[in-house]
Amino acid sequence: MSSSANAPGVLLVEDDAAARSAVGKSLAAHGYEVRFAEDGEEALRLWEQRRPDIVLLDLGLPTMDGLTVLRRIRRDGTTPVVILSAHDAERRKVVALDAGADDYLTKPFGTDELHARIRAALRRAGGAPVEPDGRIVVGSLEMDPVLRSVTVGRRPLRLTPREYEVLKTLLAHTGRVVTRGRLLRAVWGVEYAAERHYLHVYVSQIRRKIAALDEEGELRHLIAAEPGVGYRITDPTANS
Amino acid sequence: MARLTGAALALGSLAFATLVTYVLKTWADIDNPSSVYLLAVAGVAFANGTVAAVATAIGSFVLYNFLFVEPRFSLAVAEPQSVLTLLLLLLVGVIVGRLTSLGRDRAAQAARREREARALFAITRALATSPSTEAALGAVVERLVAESEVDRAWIALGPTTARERVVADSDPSSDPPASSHHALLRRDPAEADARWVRIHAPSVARMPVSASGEVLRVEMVAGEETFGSLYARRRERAGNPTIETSRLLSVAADQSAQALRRDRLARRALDVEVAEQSDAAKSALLDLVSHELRTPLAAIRASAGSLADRSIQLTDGERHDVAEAIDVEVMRLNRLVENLLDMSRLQAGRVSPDIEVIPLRDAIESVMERFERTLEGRRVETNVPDDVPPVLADATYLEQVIANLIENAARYSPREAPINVTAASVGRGVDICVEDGGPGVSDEDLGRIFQRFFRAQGRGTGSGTGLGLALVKGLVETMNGSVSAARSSLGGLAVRVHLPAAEPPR
Repeated sequence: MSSSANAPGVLLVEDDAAARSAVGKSLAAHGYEVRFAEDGEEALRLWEQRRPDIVLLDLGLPTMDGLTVLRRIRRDGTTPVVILSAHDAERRKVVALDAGADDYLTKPFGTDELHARIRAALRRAGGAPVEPDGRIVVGSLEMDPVLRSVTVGRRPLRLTPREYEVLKTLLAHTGRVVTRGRLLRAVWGVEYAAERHYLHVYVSQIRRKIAALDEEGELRHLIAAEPGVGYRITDPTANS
Repeated sequence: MARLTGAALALGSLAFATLVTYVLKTWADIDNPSSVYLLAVAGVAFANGTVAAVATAIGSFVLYNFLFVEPRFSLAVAEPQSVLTLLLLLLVGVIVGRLTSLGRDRAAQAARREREARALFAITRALATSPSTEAALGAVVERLVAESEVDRAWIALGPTTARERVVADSDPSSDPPASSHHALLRRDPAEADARWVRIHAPSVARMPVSASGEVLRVEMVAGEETFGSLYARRRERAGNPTIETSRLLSVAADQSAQALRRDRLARRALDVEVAEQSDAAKSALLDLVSHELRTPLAAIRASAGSLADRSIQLTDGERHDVAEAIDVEVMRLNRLVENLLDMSRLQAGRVSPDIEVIPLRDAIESVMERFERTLEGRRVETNVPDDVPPVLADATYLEQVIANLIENAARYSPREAPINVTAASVGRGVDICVEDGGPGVSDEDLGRIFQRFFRAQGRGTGSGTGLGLALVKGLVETMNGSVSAARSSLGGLAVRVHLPAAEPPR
């Protein structure tokens, strides 16, 4: 699929026929080439044969658990995987994300949300929004990892070293959810640092500092919280 | 030992009386001082009872006769006066002895009665005040051992002796002795006094009776229902237990049976109440399902129908609006299902909050973003002053709590009424207050709005599940917080959530 046409290939792994058909129609209407799998075995077989550009994976599958499918895909490849899961499954979502899933959607999800996530995941697979000189640009925010400097609308954003690391980790995964565990490991090196409980406070401070420089309010929703899971940078200019 | 000291006392008083008599006779020249011996007899009678007194009286007579009555140093009685003296001495000895022993018996009886009353009081009190009757039964058997002649007491519960199970024992270190032979206290309401009847199990009738004492049994009956038996073992095997012991065992058995009956009735009442409540909850849930689930379903079906109907020519804009309407209704259904799921998880105790330090402003903003569309342009004022510290809470639950409160406020107030979300530092915690400018609820309903399936009278148009606020309360409490409701200065309801404050990071 990925090698043949311009249309990106999507593998939709979903055991419910109605959901499969509805989501499939929407994806096809948006120009994706969709393959369907009803269970884990079929999903792995199709993934081996077709090498889709992205996998949409329902966690609650019959016979083979979605998580097992994900681990098998991750063992052999880097295909972006977006998890589809039910409410009240935060822990499973986090496990899936930490096992290498790129993103998740909670059922019932809207199609606009679905397309936004697919786009973000595909874009990331094609490369993060990094300029040739290594700078990361999201809207009016720019980060220069070499100089360790951040600007909002060309005005310097003063961050503490910890805040800088948190923002850098989030920006490196723009469009994708970063689990708390991953963020803590990236910034503090260990998941259970004493600061663990203060993550929300660090993010809150970063938001406030950005808001102070962001006169047009363009970056108001830059860092979105995913309660119980983690955070996500949403690029205000990237969509539609 | 007592007998020895009694004899010593008798001999001593005799010697003393003899000395005094000798002195009186020799120096004071009194002709017949025999009445001095009366003192000795009375004294001994008082101290040692009738038998000792009679012995002392005889001793006195012999001594006096031998030492002081002519012919001296012989026991020959020459004068009738001496016989009178002897009779007097004997009489005084007997009378004083009887009186003293009567008094002593009365005192002993009074002491026994007092002990019995004390034991009864202790037993009644243990049964009345102990949180559980089983624990109180332990106190009852211990009291019986402490306050009566029995050296071990135990209580076994069961409808028949064969099915009895020991629930309290004054000596839990060993099994209670076999009770196949025992003395049963037969209490007939028609008869004033209870009688002990010896019972021998037919199968073991020929077995030797155990040497360790006699087992007593009193049936525990209350309200024509047999609860079991009170057993006691006494060392003495001859005769019957004393009247006090019988009475004490009888009252202890009756009081325990009454307490057990009270327990049983209370349990039954509770069962009935629980059954009634769960019936009410089930019917409330059915109401909820029929109304809250059907309303959005009806809207979705109607919208889908108009999209599917080829005879209706919809413009692109109209089609979009219909699809949007479906989406909004689906989100409403989804929130309802989420609340139901969370409520059932909460009730099953399967909720474990992941407590973190959360800045309130972010949490409230996050909720506002998420519910922008569902709120359909309602005006929501938020105010979180800078001095409000972050709270200790679970991020997911906190957002759900705030969402439910805002949703509730929006649901029960007219579209144009304001909704305020404020936070303030209170004591060692933070108060989050969500209030609306709606009609509010009556004072009597204020205390009940956090009950499951409760919906205040006259509030809104009858929509709502009565689940939102109950869930808020449950979730807040799992995060070590509390909720309260009051009348808002805006006119409507003000719900306050108190959560512990977090230390700011270093």
